[in-house]
Amino acid sequence: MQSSLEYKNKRLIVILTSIAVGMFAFATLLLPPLYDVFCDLTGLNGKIDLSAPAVPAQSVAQVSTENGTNQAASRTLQVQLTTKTDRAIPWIFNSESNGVRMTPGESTLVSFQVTNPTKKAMSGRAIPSVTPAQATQYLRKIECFCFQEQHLAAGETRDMPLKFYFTEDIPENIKEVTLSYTLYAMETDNGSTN
Amino acid sequence: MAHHANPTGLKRWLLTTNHKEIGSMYLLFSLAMFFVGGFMAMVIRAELMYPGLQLVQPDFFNQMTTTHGLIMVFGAVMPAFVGLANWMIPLMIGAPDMALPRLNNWSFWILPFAFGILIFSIIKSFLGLGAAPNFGWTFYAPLSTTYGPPSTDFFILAVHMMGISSIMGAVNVVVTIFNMRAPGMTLMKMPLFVWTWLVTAFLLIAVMPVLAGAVTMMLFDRHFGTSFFDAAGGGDPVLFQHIFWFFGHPEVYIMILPAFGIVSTIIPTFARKPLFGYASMVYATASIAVLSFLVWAHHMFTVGLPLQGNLFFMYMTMLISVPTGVKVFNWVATMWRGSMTFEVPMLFSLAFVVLFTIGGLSGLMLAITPADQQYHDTYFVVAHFHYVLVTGAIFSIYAAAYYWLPKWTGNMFHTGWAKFHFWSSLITVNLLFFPMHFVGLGSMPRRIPDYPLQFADMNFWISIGGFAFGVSQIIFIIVLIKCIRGGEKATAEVWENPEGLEWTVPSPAPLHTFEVPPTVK
Repeated sequence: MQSSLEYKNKRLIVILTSIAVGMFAFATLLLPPLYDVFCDLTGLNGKIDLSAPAVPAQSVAQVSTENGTNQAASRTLQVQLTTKTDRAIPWIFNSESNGVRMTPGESTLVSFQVTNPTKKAMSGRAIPSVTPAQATQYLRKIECFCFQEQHLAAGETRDMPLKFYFTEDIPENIKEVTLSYTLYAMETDNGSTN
Repeated sequence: MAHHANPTGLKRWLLTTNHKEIGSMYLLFSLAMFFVGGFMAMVIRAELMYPGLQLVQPDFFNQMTTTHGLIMVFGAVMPAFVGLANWMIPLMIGAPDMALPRLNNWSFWILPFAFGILIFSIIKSFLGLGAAPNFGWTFYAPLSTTYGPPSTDFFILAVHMMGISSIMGAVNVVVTIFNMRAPGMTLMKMPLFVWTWLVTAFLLIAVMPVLAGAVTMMLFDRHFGTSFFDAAGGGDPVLFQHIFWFFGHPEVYIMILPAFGIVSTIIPTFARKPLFGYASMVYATASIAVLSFLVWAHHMFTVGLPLQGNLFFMYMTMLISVPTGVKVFNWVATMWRGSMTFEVPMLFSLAFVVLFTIGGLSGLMLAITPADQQYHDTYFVVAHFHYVLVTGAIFSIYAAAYYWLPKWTGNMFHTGWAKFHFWSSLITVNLLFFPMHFVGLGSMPRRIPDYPLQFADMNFWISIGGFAFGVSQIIFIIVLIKCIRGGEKATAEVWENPEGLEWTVPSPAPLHTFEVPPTVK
């Protein structure tokens, strides 16, 4: 009787402890990658795929000629450009203009300027974010400085181009899009920011 | 139970494995933490009494709101319920003790050290040796990662210890309830307090590890170069909010389900009718627990979720009011045409039913996504969760304390002082929290040390209510000391025909009870 109770207790403790350990593993190991995949699929958090340019420039032209621009030309998107620098990097980071007005399907070239006012060479990388997040999946970047790490010598200034367009199927209710770039320091010593 | 010689003095309390002694320690610890957290609330209210900065600097104010929340949630409310579970669950199911007595001792003795660490960081801050945690009890990244003060690491350690303590306590409760019930006590014959605690224990086992995961990821982000919550390395601070509230919303029900059990125990005694709808109470408890995992993002309506997400979480949240409504209905139906008397535990339970429902209704208002855009992070939210936690959880703990105090001490408490405690608390708690609804609707943000002038009059009266409520709690100490020292001897039944096995043992309950299990028909 007593030993059977002990056995029952032990079995239950093992089950309950495994639930607890499993939930810890779920929160730390499974949730962050799941969240990333979920956001990649839905574009929910305004994060953009930084790996490569989405569509080559020619096919953009094709898209706009094939479909005809009559529909898309009737509406324009106001795109605002904002820049920020992380407090760990003392660079000066600005966009050439605060915003552009563009037609869906047509690509636009804008320019950003970054200066390293310090006395030593540093590396940084700009991370984009799109608001509203729903616009993320319609954004196509042909050329972006955010694809690679920027290495600036002491006192160097560089112009950085961004060529992008929005696909024509971007929903009508999206009239303004904000492209925000935050510049972060790359810690080359331990490479942890990659 | 082969005791040779019982240790005495400090060792008795350090080494005890007795569920009643551990229960008492939990309850006294939570009372102490209630006063520590209450003192912080007094600092907050003193600063907010007049517009402008008078007493403390904004950073210290933030440390007060942070540690007030942490200490009240993890130090006052949760240990009080664990203490009640320790004392009452074995007595209610006819078991001689908890199933895992030594684990029980360990669960308790972790807590003073965890809170010692947290309180140490506040004392350190008071002495000007670096800020205590100042990012709110929700410790959102990046406030707690990139911008957290060095004492954040104390906080992480303390939260880990609290979590381990809670998980072990919950495992103990589940094993006790499943394996130690007296013969004849089937699951559907268990008292509701036992039922609600069983569900609570499962919630604890499921979500405390998630909290531990959140603080672990914070620790790694702070010191080991990971970027779970840091956009610079490809992480996302919003992920923190998802993980935190995936823990945080079930946590809310961890703090209220045992309260439902207490009130469901007390109202039938003083209405002299069996509880209306026992089975529906059990099912409502279980469905609240299940739904609590599906509503977390209603804390995040303003982070920019897609429309479908907002709608899903809005509907799920509103759905929770159905089982909660079932409970409120059952309590009222239990009282309907009952022979009600108004002893102190009943007064607290009645206040619970009315005031918790007010808190529930403001919760329903907050669930409405478009309306929440205005209420979010205002004093309306503060009013809402203080109604459910102070007049909900704390009032139910007082009701339980007054209900079972004669069983614990063997003496009747002084009814006059106890009624004074009740009425004084009832009036002042409403003066304290009700006007917060209005300043919140007027869009006064929470967690600020200063505010625009139009909120000055309301805040003055809120602070008066706050101080008076704080002082009222000292009356409870008076009642408690008087009751422990003596008073009219309580009978085994204490009240008139109360239901439950705990009333079959003498008052005060001897150290060892039900060594021969009772038979339940």
